[in-house]
Amino acid sequence: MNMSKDEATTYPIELVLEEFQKHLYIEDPSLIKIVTATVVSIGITGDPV
Amino acid sequence: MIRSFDGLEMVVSISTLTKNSLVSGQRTKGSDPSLLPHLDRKILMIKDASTILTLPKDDKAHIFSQLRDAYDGYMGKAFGNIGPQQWKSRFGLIAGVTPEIDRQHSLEQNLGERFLKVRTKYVNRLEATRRAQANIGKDDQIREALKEVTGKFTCAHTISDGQPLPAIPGYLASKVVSLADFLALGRTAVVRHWKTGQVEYKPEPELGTRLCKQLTKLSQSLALVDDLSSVTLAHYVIVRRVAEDTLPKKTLELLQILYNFKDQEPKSTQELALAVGYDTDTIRRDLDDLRLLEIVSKEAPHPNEFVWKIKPDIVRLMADIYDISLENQHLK
Repeated sequence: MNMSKDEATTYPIELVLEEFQKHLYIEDPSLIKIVTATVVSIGITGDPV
Repeated sequence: MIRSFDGLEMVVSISTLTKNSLVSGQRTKGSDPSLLPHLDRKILMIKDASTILTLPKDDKAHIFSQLRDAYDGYMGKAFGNIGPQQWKSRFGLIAGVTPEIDRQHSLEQNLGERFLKVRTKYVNRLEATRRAQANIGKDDQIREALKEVTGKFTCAHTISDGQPLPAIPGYLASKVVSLADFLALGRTAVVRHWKTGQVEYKPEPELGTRLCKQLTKLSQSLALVDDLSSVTLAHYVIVRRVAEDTLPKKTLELLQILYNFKDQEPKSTQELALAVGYDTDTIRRDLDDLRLLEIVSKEAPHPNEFVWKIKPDIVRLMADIYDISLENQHLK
């Protein structure tokens, strides 16, 4: 699942939130953002939040 | 939700931890079955960590102690069978737990808490229940769909091209410092004897240094997720929510009530109990804990009647955290 940096900007977090909201009852999308941010952070810096 | 991240390269998913999971002390055909070496630069996800909270006290303390050790990226331990062992491994931990975690606050704190908490909140509980009912039989299909989008997103956003982390503007950085100090102070546990309730020693609040790093990094990571080069007020508000959720729920409620009464005369224990919605005996002890942490002052205007007021230093700290008028100016 390799993507270029340009492709990354065409895959915004809103797409993830939309998919979650399509399937699950989500009142608080920031929870998904927090978990995603934690995962992305380790992927980029190798350092946990 | 946690399982939606299963299968990602940087995620290791497990159902629970035992006291021998992270470092086992065993050698199987020369290899080390410990989990720790496999976690470097990864996120350990535990679907339901509540089972850890139900373990015997010593086992639970052992696991928390290992997690505390591992937090700094290094762990050393001597075993009788294989001698001294060392591991270097930096990893994040995301775990789902029930509100039972609040009952463990004192234990975690004594061992040096490293976790941030996020509480799920539902206003429309009926709708949440209806959606769960409608999803019966679709679990696998939904999980696959969610795994696909989280996979695509994290893959796209973890391209290492030497880009710096998003910047954090000075006024928000300053607020995060206040937030970290507030959280460090507010989450300090006061250890009391289990039977008599007497304070065992005067609490010494941790410094906000570690929390400040965590909260700053979280704000930067949230900006990364939004494809922004700088942290915004919206990110700070999410980070503030995490800090609030990390505090014991009752402590936060009490602090907010005390802050609301900051310009009024000191309030009695009964008045505060009524305002927070707990019984007077419960609140009296919590207020006394806050007094020991030098967050509130206590006076006795009449025999056997106490009144409480939040201290000016804490008012200033909370004003910095909650006053967003300055941020609104920045947003204009």
